[in-house]
Amino acid sequence: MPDPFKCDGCHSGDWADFDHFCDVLDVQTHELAQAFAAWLGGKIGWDGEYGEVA
Amino acid sequence: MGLLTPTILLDPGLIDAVGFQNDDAPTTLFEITAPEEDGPDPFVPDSPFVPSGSWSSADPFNYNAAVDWAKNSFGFTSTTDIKGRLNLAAANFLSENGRWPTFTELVQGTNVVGYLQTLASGTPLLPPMFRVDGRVWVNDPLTGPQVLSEGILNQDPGLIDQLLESGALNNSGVISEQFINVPAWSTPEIQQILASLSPVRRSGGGGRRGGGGGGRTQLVFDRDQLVRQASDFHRELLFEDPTGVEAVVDEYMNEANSFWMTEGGQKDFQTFLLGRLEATSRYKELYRNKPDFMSAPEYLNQFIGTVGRFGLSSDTTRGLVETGARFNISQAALAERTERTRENRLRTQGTFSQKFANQLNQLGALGR
Repeated sequence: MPDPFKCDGCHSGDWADFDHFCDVLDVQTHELAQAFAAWLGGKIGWDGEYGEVA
Repeated sequence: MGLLTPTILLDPGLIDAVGFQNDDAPTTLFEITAPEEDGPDPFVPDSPFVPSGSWSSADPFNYNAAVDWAKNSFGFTSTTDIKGRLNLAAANFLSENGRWPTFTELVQGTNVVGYLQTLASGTPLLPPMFRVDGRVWVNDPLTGPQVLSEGILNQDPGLIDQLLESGALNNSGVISEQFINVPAWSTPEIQQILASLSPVRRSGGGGRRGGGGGGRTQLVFDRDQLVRQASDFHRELLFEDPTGVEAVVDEYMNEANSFWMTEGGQKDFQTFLLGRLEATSRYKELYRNKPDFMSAPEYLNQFIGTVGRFGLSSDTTRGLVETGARFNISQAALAERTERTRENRLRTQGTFSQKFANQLNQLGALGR
């Protein structure tokens, strides 16, 4: 499991591309809805919880 | 039949003088595909009229059906061009059958197709006699040009009268000087002339069309312009820089030429490009949630408008626009997401030093 907080993410660290967000965080199919909600909320992180954008 | 006989006309010396040839060179100057016959038109009743006047006035119903057929089949744009030939073909039928033809009878039972092919070719506007690559052609405005040969003269005695009328023959029974001095063109020249004379409509833009048959010239393209157009279209629809555009343009030019030479039509460049782009995985991904009532540019532009007004870097903007399009995110939600980006926060909510550094960066960008 990659550590999202050690990755600047794509697009200046904004994880602007949801696909990249899912790739890096290894989002599974059944987690997509939750992950998408997190992405829309501007949050990053995965492993049971989301972290706020710095 | 005139006073002259073919024997007098075809003196070997005179034949050499005017360029008679008996080899196997083509003996037609144009090729226009005859329309396929679909059988009797079920919407046009068989209603032979009692002969009087011209067919167009005696039986306007069948005449108008024939006009529509001629326009659709050959591409004529003017009724004036074809009226005389339809009436003539109908009159021929009348003289043989004692009544006017139906529409079906006109198309299938007369030589109206040949009359219209000749008209569409543009040859009726050529002089009654001319030469192409040294070969002498006698031009009948109704049936088209024919290579002058002994066989034609023997088969068509009336042609001698026609030659007399045109001044090609003099009354002494010898070929006149005018016969030798008729207009002379090369095959490419006559094809260009016919292309300009033909009354049928042509597809426009991007190329030109020759007279027909094997001698058709190729379409002419501005390759650089097509490459630029294809690149812009790719960026507009797929929101990324294109690769391999020149190969796509070359492929289009080949296909367009092939289509034009076999079908005589113009292949639309934008339609060709759209087909190629729609087949890419990126297009399918970007537009998988596009409503049917929106075009691809319309769909994408709404996300570009929402994200673009924040003035973020192109990299971040592209990521948000692409994701917005893929998931058809509402404009409000996408705007909110964009507002929460790190980049936007730094620009609007950072410390004074951050704002100052950001402004310096912007100035630096302007100064580059």
